[in-house]
Amino acid sequence: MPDAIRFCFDVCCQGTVLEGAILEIIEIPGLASCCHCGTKINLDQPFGICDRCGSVELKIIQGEELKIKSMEIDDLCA
Amino acid sequence: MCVTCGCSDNSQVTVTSLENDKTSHSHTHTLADGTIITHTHQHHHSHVHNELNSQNGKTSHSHTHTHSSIKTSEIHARMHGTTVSLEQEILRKNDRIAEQNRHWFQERGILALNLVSSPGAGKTTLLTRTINDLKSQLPISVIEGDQETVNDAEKIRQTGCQVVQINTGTGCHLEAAMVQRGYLELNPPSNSILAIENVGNLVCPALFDLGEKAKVAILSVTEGEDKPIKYPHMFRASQVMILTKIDLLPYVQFDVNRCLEYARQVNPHISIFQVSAITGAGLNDWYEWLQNQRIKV
Repeated sequence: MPDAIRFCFDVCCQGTVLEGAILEIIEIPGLASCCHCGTKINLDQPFGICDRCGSVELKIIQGEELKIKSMEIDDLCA
Repeated sequence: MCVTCGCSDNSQVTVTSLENDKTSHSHTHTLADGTIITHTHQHHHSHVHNELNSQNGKTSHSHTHTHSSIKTSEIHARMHGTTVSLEQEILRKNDRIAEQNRHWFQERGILALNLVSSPGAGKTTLLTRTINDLKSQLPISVIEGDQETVNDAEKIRQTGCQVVQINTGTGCHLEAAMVQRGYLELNPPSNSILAIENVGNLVCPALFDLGEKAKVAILSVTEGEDKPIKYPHMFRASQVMILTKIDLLPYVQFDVNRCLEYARQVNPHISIFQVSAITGAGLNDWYEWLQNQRIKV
């Protein structure tokens, strides 16, 4: 996903005021909480097995964010 | 542009109604205040603007084709020399239209289902069989999504059901705005089922809410049994998995139990039906699910 966004970003910016803008992606690691025992499990994919009780009922609590946080703008009026 | 796979946006989307053979094009702009404007350009050259007011999400009106784009200098003036906090969900625009769709369906008691699969899994065959078997009991209308051709819509129309074809051009999935145009064209009756057959693709459609009650993932036994863990986002987002073409099991290397295990690993609460649209095996369970969901709407 980050690679696809980087690729699209450059293409979309061409010929616009955003041309040359730098895209900064903060990748947030996947984290789930077991629905049965509450153990926190690190995930590389959107499913897994609880280390402690073996349940596959996991609630993903982090890592699926897809948000534009902020923009830094240069002083172009100078 | 689709941020999942980088395919182009909906600029070349066409909606074809098989009822009156009318084709139209549309595209959407978001203004600086969050207002979404969708233009529809029909072949007979009337221009319709639907303005979706960001305050209440409902107001719509038509006017003539004059719109001014926001000037870049205006954007610049507002943002000059600062860090602007945005905190915007990338898919917010789609999600907002999907919520409007969901509301529209709920008001009319329409059960909307988003059918997703790889190309060739048998979505259209399952759908035509379902329509033919149930049409005396419950009305079903269909929004067909494909990159090109109206072939699938033609197949659906032969069942006698109402259908509209959406061609996404180079796009890889249906978006909520396309579905909105589709159902406004179709105008399905109250308390009916609206089946939205998505573009054959197990990747991007997982992220795009269309306002449906449930996603139904269709997987055929001629594919790999590990599809649920290869495309976990889709199987996790789906409420139902239908394993199709089970009449072919004697001829293919497909471990059904392992497939079901993978599906439940990714989504422990997924409902699973094993069917053959050719022999009719297992279809009654699927029909029962449909009837029950319809009552719940």
